[in-house]
Amino acid sequence: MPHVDRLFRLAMWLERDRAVAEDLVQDTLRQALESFGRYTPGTNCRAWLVTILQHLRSNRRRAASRSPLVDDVDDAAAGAMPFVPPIPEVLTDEDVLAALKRIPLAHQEVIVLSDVEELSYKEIARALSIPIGTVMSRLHRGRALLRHELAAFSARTAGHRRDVASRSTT
Amino acid sequence: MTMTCRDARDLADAYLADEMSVETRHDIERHLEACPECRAEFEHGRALRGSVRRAFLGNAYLQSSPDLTASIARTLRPASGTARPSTAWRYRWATAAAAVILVSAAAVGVAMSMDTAQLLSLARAAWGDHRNCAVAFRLAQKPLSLEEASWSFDASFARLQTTPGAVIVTAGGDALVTERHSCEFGGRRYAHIVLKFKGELVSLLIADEETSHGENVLRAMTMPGLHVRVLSVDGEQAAVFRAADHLGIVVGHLSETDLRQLTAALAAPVASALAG
Repeated sequence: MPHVDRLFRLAMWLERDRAVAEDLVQDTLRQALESFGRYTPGTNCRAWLVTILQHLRSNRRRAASRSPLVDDVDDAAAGAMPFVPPIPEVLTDEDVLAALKRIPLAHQEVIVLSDVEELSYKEIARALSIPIGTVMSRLHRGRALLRHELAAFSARTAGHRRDVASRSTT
Repeated sequence: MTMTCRDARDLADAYLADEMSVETRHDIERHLEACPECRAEFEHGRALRGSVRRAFLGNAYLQSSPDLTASIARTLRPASGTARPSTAWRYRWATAAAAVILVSAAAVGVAMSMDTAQLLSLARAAWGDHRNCAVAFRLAQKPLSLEEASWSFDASFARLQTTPGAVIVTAGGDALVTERHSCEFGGRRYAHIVLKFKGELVSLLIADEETSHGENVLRAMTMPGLHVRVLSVDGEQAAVFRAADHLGIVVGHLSETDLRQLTAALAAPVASALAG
């Protein structure tokens, strides 16, 4: 069931809780089945499922009277970020995921939907109910933030290695 | 238009995601040819996208458990022993399940009379896809690999990754496969195999089950064996054949003899692969 695996990976990343993610995937597929008449044959089935999953998340947040899924980060994103650091040469998968977790959720979402789910800008816009221009600005800003986090992470790791090396020689 | 480094870098994401017009893409490529710094920057961007994807796919914490898959299959399947659902509901359930959880539903064969208008409609759409995708690279949505399309649209597309083979031997000479992908044109989803034959670009388009079902053309092609039908549409020709529960359409600027010879050579391996 490739769709289940991919939906679960996305739900797990967004919710960070296995039980909640499993419940979300079950509800997404149940909802998809009930509203299958609204699916347009020939379009991207995975993008349609991601849209349902995102809407369910959004409804749950509202029902729980919690804050919206995404803070209005786009105004902040308009601020300049003139320097984008180079990507460290040595990176593990854990480094990448740890850095991704440190950037705002709104930026994580678009990066994951673009890079992992490989949705088009239009499909991401529909899934998140935001304009395409916002998808593009969040991707642009999100990637810059991710590179800052990776560079900072790499610098910390290098400092730690230096400390260990100096302790072992003294 | 002369593009600055800043312009190019602002558009890097759209370029790497293939989300821009051909003209802008060419502007960027001209800039990249002349600018090693931006070239390196674009390569970094490409590498970072790959790193995120790899990290996600390889992370054990994000993997679903077999229990979840079993539980979903149990939950979504109609309970046995309950009142028999209506035919419409059962059909809808089977179609939805096939699309959503890739449960293969046995097709119910209903022989229908040939509807030439529907075949012509499909042939016209096939020519549209050939012109816009194979010749002009001008599609609203970027093509997917056949493997990915097999996950999202039609599981049997995966079998077309190696079938037909790279060289197709016909009575009139060899045809070479130059490209395989899945694309969408005019609301229809195809497996698209591009070939070079007698100096011409030729497209073999295979309509998936949903496309075929929508037009009823699949069941219209009820002729026994690998019958090839050549249709004239808008002054062009298209050869159509049935391959298991799919329909193959071959289009390109070929004589009718060449079109028939090539289609006959393609139909047998494709039908065999899709029947498997």
